[in-house]
Amino acid sequence: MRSDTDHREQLDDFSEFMKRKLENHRLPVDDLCWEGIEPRMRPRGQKWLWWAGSSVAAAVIALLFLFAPFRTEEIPDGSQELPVAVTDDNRENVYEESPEDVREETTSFVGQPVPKEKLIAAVVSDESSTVLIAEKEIPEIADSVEIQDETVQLADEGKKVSSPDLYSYESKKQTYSSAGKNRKAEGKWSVNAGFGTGGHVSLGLGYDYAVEAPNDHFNPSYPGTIPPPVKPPFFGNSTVLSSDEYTSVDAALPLSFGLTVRRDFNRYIGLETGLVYTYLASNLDKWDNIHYKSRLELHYLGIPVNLVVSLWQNSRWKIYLSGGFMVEKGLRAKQTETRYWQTDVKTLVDKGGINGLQWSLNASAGVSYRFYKDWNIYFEPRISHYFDNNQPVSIRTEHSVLVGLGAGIRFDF
Amino acid sequence: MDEQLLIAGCKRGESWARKEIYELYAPAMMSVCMRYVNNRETARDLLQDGFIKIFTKIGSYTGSGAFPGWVRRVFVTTALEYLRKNDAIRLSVNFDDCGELADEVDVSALERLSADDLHACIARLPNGYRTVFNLYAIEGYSHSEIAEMLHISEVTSRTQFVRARKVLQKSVQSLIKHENAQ
Repeated sequence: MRSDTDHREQLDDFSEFMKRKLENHRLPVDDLCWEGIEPRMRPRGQKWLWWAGSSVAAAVIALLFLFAPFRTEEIPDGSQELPVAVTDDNRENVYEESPEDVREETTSFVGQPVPKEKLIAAVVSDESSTVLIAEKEIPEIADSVEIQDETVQLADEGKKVSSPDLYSYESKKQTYSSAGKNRKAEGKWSVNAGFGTGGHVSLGLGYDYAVEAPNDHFNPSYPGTIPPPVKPPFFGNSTVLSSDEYTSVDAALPLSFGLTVRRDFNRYIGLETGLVYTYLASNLDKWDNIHYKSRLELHYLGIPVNLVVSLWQNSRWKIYLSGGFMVEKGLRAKQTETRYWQTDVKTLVDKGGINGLQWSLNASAGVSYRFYKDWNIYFEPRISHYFDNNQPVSIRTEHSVLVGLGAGIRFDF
Repeated sequence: MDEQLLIAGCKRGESWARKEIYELYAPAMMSVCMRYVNNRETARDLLQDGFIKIFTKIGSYTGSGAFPGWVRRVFVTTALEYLRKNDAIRLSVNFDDCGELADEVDVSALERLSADDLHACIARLPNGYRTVFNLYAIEGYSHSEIAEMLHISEVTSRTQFVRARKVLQKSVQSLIKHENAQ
């Protein structure tokens, strides 16, 4: 710091006195201040990663919605017929087809004319020109006892039937493989590990820092005289203010982490449930004779129940809608209140449970990508409506409708 | 803890060293911030911003000057940046606003006042007065330096300081009278 000799002119006695008294003056600082510094000193990588992940997710979703309808690598007609149950009504037509027709249109995999019933459960699985006979198919087929039994038996034994005719349509092999993957999806289980966050209307990922305009709260009726302030008696109260008593709420975005299980009943419908932990934090503020500031942290554990409807899928991508409800139980609430009056600071901490349950309705549109064997990564933009269940102040009580983004890893088995 | 060790730790990005530096300087720097913005919430934000600067720019501290002085300069600069950004330095108060000229304050009477009392008096000054008074009387900058920092003329700086001192003397006298009456 500069010394007095830096002054071009000598300080007067009054200014000198003020300098001497205030140069080393200290004011108490609340513990929360450091908590505000420390996160900002962490490596930027985390924040960068967060933004990058969200940006990539948004870009992928946008691209999928833009280009998915125009993709032409859909399963050809022949393969699309595969899952269709053959009934007595159409069996005649099927038999009208010659063996050659069947071979041409469906990349036939048997050396002789095959009744359509067999084709239902047969798919080309790989380049070794083998045919895997799937186990489960349309239930109605069970009535065609002889043929279906044969199919089931082959599948149970894991047998593969080689066919020299398989490569007659090289260009369609990949398509048939996709069909095989899709078929495998039926009746399967998935485990999802994901995280999510959300906000009101926008997807801004972070706290809203309100910049307070410069003002003089204590500023006065300048230039008159200043009556000495009197400390309000309730400054020393040992009970924190209820969150409802605060006049300003700055609610942070929720952070959720969950483990869920999905059961796909068939290719299109599935049910999902599990456990989801959510962390909610809010900064509360109230200016009175005393300045009250609080940080309220809430911990919730919830059980979601969602119906999942697949809209479109191929061997790697899947687009789906999901909707349902979630019930959450508040595990713990912690309120750290700091009171300021002049230069006095008093900090109180209140911990306790949370009564009642938080109910919500949720809807999401998701996209998943199979990046390795049965491992998928998924992103789910979602919207949630939180009912007024008399819960402590959080972003959910401030905004009943929240838009968010979830992401995670899914394993199919 | 040795100051040089702490500085070296901060330069390596050690969290414990940052925390030590923070605990060492936070109360004094909070006082500095409060003297400039007179709003605890804003002062707290400035305190955080100032420490972020300290920790991110500590590599530029060469050790040629005293570390406490370097720290204080960072906080004063942070406060001035805030005031400039928010157009809070207004220097247009007329001399008439100061009312009657204050009598010279008896320094012996001043001794009875606490630093908190004096701090509160400074906090009540208008932004422009407060800024110039702090920079000149407390931090020790010259008027030419203040003029450069605040983008004002040197004469304006002198005038603002004289006015600030007079208003401050009035406030302090009022406080002394009140203390004596009790």
